[in-house]
Amino acid sequence: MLILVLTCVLISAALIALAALWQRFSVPAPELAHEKALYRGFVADVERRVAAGEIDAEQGQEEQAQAARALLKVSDTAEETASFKPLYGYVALGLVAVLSAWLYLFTGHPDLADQPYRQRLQAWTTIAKSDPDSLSPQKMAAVLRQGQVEHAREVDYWLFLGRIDMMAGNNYDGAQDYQKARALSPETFTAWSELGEALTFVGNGTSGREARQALQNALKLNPNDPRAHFYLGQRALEDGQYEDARGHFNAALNAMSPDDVSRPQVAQALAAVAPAEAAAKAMSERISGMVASLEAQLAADPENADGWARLLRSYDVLGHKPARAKAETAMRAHYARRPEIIADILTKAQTRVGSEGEAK
Amino acid sequence: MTHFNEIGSYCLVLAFSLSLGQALVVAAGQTKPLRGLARYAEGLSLAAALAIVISFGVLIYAFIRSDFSVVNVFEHSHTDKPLLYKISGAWGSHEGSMLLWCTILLVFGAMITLRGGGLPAGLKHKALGVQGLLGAAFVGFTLFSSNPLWRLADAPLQGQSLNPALQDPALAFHPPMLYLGYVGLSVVFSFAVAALIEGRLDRAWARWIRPWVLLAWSFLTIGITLGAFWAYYELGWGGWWAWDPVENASFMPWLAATALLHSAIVMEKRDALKAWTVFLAILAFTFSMMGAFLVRSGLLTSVHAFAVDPQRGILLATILLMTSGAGFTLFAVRAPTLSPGGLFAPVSREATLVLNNLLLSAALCSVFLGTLYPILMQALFNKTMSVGAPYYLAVFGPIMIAALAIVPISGLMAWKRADLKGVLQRLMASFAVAALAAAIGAILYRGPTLLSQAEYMVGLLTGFWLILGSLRTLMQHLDFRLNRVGKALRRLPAVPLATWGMLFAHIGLGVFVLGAVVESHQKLSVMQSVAIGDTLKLGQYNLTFKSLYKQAGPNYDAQGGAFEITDAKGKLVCEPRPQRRFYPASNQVQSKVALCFTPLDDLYIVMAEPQMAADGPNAGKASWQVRFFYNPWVRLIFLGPLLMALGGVFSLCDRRLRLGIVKKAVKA
Repeated sequence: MLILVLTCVLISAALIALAALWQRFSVPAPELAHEKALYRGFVADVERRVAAGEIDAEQGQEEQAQAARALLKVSDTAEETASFKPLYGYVALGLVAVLSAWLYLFTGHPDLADQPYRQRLQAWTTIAKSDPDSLSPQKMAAVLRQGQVEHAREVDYWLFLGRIDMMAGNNYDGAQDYQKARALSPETFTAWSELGEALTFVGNGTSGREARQALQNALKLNPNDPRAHFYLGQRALEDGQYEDARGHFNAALNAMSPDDVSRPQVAQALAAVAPAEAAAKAMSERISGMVASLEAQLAADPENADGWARLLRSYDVLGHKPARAKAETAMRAHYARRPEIIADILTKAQTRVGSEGEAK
Repeated sequence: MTHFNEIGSYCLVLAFSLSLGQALVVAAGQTKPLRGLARYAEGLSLAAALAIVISFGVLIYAFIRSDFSVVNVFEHSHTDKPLLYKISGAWGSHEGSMLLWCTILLVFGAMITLRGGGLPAGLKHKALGVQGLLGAAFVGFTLFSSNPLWRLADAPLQGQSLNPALQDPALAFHPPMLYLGYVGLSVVFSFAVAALIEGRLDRAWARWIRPWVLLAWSFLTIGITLGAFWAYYELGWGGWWAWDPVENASFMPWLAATALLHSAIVMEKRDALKAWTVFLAILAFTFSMMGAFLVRSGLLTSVHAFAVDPQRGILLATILLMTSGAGFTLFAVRAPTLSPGGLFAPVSREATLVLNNLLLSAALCSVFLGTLYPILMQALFNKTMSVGAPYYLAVFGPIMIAALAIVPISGLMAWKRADLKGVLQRLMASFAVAALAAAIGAILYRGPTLLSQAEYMVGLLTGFWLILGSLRTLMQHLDFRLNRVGKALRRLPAVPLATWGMLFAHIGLGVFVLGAVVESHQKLSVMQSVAIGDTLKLGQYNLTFKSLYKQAGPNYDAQGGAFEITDAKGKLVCEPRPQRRFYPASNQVQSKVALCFTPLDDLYIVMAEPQMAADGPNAGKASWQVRFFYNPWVRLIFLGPLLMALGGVFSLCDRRLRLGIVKKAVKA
């Protein structure tokens, strides 16, 4: 704090001194002499331009007359400045310094030191060596990441860093760490399994294509991997493949020890399969009823673009591919001369149910 | 423990006090007993500039060191960001860019002191007083409402990083260039207000402000061009100018500065247009401030706009209204007392420059209306509407064509009284060649409508006319004759730099017009979903998607497409590699355009997100929406303004217009 105060005082003093010294040594006084010299130079420049043919003589005379008028005007005020006392100026400069100090008390934080990242990282590294448990996963991940060049070929390093990153909530970084572990050791099932889990987290809880592939690879290497079974079961449940989901959740439960902390979570997921299956069946029946009614309406009045779009979308939801193809053929035949409507219907049909208003 | 950030904060406070002091000593110096106090404004301007440079330096240093205890660094930086973007992050936010604005403002104030030895003391000190007042207003706004050095007691672990679209070399330099232009006009404003207070507007004043106008105009030209280039290759939409209100906000001061540049010439040469020139000087900076207000007030939604923050917008609007309001009020009071100045004939260079000013002002009004009309409609009637390219092409386009058509004529006109018939005779050959080139171009171009064909021809004619007409002006300067080529060439070094500046600016304008006309009329594009192995056809080019690749960047992971472009004969033209970059720190994806460089044209490819076909022949196969553009002569759109800016630099290097030249004459 003392150093800060001293530095601020020194900077103020230096800048105020600069202002005072500039005025003392560089600002010409008395002003009249300066103005005279200035306009002499101006007139000389006008003469040079006339001689060089840049302006004609008439313009030269006009410019010289203007310079003379300006000189007369300035001489009226310049004499008055001679009596000025420099003390007023120094008082003004002093007031500026006082105002600055006063304002800084309201706007500054003299108690807050700088916190550059490198310095903080060094402090965390020291704690990681002496008391690692007291360090948050975020800080631990930052400390560990410093060794990524040194440990670039070590599978365990990347697996450990991945776990720390996942604990820190750095899902994307965690997935990257597991990718590196998997590349170094493709036969290690945990690398695949934890990669699949990390990618599922990156996908906000949904196991995408890459995640599914990683989880399936983990199962190839270890058919009793509960993690892979659990996430594949979740994905199967989302896809409406209830038997697959049951199979994966049961396999996960069988692979877990009775005191495994994750057991209740898997059991809960298994219990959720039956209600989901019943709800899907009810929904399918409702859609089937709606489709039948829509089919009848379109047979009676095929001039209904929205109706065709809804029908195609319903078949997509139900997974009735032959019926969808038939409906599309009928729609295309009806709008054969209006391709823009066909394109519009196909676009609307691809829109996810319930997403029509999302753009708003 | 170091306290650099606090030293920066203190220096910002100091810069505010020094600027305020600078304004107050000049005000106090107008009273009889304290007449000499105004002299202290010079030293205070230097001290204020140094203080703010230290403050801005500290902010950059905080970005370099990733000191997340500074809120601005936390919100706009990340440890993985490359050094260039850590530095440019310092002006990548509203707060940081305000500090950059203030830094340039105060440094320009110091430049009046350092390079203004040749100015009359009264005018110089009053200009410094106005500059100090502007400095106090803007530094005060930054200090109290948008302080980039605000602190957090406990620094967050990581920063939130900078918007990926802003992590680009063109955008790293675009704001400083633009601000050098915007704020450069503040000096002109200060000189205008100072002259109005002094009641002294003469040729010398016009000559003193011309270098500042040229400096601001050149930087503004470069800044706008860099912004357009960034929008062209970074935003992935294939265009370079969208008449976006934020783009217009930078274009309006440019138009005003261009008009001012020409009216100042008339004032210097003929002692005429005094009131008009000083009005333009106030107007140009008013538009600069309006630009700053529009992008920060929350009134506009744009890729360029900084923040939606009405409170800070109101503060900025207050500064805008008070400064420009004071300027215009002073103008209204003083303008009637200004002598009308030199007379000139209707056929003279002055008359063409007046016409040029009228047309540029009309063009400025058209852009102003197009920009503000939707905002006013929204504010007054809650009615959302947008004014787009069709309006500007219909209103702004014809006015500018008329303005550009008189440029070569003006260049050959004599001052006071000119021989129009003689000038037209001398330009006949240039016009004939331009018309021939435009006619050939129009025949080769098969536009969709007759109107489009006519637009194209008029556009080409304007571009060629500007270039060839300017070359004819050069020939006039060299007294060029076919049988005395050697003699004419020997005169080249004698051509004043200001004349070279004018020629480069006008030729650059012609080059730009040609690029804009050809690109907008002959541009081709196709957008299609393509899978690996597919080929897209566009004009004579075939784009084949060869493979996918992954690349790890310093702070992003990219997935890119390796493409191959062949011409109609199957010859390989280039191998573009567009990318989609994922920035984990901000969890944002950015498309990276691939450009194939040919001398004038661009082949421009941009990839969208992958999609998986659910059924059909490509079921289970990934495909990407690819946009493929052929942009003919697009390079001229960016080359032209650079030539114009170079012209500005040439003019600035002219002995008569160099800053501080009169001071040297005094010493001699």
